[in-house]
Amino acid sequence: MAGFDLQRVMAKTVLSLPTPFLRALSGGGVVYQGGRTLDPRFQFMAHAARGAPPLTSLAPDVARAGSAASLAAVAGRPEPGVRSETFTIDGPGGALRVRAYRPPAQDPAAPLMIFAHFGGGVIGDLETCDVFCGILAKGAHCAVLSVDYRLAPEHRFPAGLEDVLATYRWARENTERFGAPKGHVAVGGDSMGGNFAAIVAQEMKRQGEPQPALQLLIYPAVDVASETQSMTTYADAYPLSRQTMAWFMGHYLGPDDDPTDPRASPIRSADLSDLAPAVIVTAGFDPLVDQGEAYAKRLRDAGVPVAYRCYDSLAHAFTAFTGAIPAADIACREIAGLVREGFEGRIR
Amino acid sequence: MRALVVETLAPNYAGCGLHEIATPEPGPGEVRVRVRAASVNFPDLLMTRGEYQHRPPLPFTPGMEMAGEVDALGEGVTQFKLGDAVVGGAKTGGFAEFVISAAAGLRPKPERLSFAQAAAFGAAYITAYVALVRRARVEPGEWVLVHGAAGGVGLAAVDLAKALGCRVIAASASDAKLAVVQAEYAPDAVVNVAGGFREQVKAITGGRGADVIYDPVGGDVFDESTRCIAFDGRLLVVGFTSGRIPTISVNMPLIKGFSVLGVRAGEYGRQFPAKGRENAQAIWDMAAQGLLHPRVHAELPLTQWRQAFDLLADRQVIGKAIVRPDL
Repeated sequence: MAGFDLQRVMAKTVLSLPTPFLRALSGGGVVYQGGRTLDPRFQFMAHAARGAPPLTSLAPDVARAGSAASLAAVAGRPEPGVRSETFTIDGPGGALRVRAYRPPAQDPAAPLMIFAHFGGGVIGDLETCDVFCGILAKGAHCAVLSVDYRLAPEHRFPAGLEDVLATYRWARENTERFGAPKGHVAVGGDSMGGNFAAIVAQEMKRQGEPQPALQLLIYPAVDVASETQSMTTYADAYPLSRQTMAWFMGHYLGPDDDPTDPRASPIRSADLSDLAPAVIVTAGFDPLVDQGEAYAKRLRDAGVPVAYRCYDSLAHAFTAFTGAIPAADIACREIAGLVREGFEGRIR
Repeated sequence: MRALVVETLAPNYAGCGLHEIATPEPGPGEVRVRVRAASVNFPDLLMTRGEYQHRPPLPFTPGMEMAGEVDALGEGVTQFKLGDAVVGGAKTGGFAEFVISAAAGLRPKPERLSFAQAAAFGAAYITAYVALVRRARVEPGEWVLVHGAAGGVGLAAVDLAKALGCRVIAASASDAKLAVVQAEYAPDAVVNVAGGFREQVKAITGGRGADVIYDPVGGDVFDESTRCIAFDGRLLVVGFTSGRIPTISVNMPLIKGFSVLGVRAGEYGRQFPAKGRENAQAIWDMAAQGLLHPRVHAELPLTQWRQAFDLLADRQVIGKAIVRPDL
């Protein structure tokens, strides 16, 4: 996430200004790329971020703190009526923090959704997706379990993935604690979390374990060595640029790791048949839009039920911007609705 | 090719399905377009159950607005070449991998617009243009109240009225939708009509009421609009998405000095072909210059046509929903 330097007060005040002012403050004009029109609020934030040191120039711990502070300025309010509880479980690397969300009207037949936040495997924590998990729990009428997986470069590939897998398996044994039917789980995540979620579904198949009820992949990184057109068209997009993606992967993958390993780039798996029904959502202004779309196509060609949707005016990481960008808030609620449709078997 | 085909007219899209059908060949003066994006309009939904004034012979493929690339040229077509990015409209055929269009019905896609935006543009903006410019003859600085402001046709009117220098009040029954309209289109005011809007509109306009009211909703919204329209105002009848066609006693326009104007954008072009071409030229020029901003709510694969139809029918769409046959 490039240069999250926005001051909390500045962001909330300035972002409430009308569009022409925002566009003028952002250097004027309307941002068109690949023929899409960028949401003016993203445009403003992208412009503001240009004055800040790029994320890629920072040490990972500084980048984490800066990103957390900036995201707090654009986060929506916690979803009313959703209760959450943070606790630890035993993970492969020691105690692993997780946060469970229970909606006001939980469907007792709905699976428990394990969710992994964005951040390139390098930044982000339970707060990154806190508001979104509440929206998801409420809209899909399911319990959600968010996982604070280990981050690189302190813990490189596949540490984060293994934490998500461990949480998934732990959750599957403990669904009833969260009001879900025994053994009934789903998996989801955005960006790097979407990478993990896609791989969890594939790992279940490889290991001969049951498929999740659903995989929710939001602007997922399914190919960490992608050369699709959107990697160029939206190379300078905000908040995820091609350079930031490369910086993330430089920390996430070790020198001997293969970026085409399906456990790093799940789209590289040869056979995608018999995987769980998928809800795949992309954002228009995102270097990763093409790979998310390609994964949706490949899953469908393999006979997997897929609901795909691209929100044209939005950018990568929009689930964290619901307090500043009204269209992001609406999109997040629609995603929860799509997940609900998936639980009801209405995705074909 | 894969196409959405309506085989029988039935409610709930029961007569519709995706089928492999023969890829059509262009006749003289026609072009085959590889569809990259087709927008969903209410007439598409109505046509699947035979409730639209135009009832094509069965079976047919709905989809009245699309953008794509020239794939094959019929005899005598010289203004396009293979691979050209084009945008066009026909009554049917857009929800398929390929569509045949008269070359005269296509125009080059402005580079500034994506295929999705281009497919979302024509019908909504031509309606707004005919209504505001031809029928109401709006002047810069006039107050324009737009009902259904988050819908495709309403949002186009908000966008166009702003571009023409009017002062715009965007009205809708949803705060969430109004927040998006406000954030992206910067109307001068927004009004939630749920608790009544007459007093709010009067307060915003300094007691005068709106000079022009653009009403695709009808019903109660029309009734209340007659109570907050300015002297010499123009009340544009665009449609009846509320489901009720309102009635009015004609002493009211007399006493309050306003006009009620019907808007039929398509018929306008048929009655006055030269003016129709001017209208289209005007809006596409403005789009090419970046003055207009068609909004794509979301793009969905053609395989999810039903979800796209439902998004529109359930009024979830802000702007336009797009289906993509190439997905």
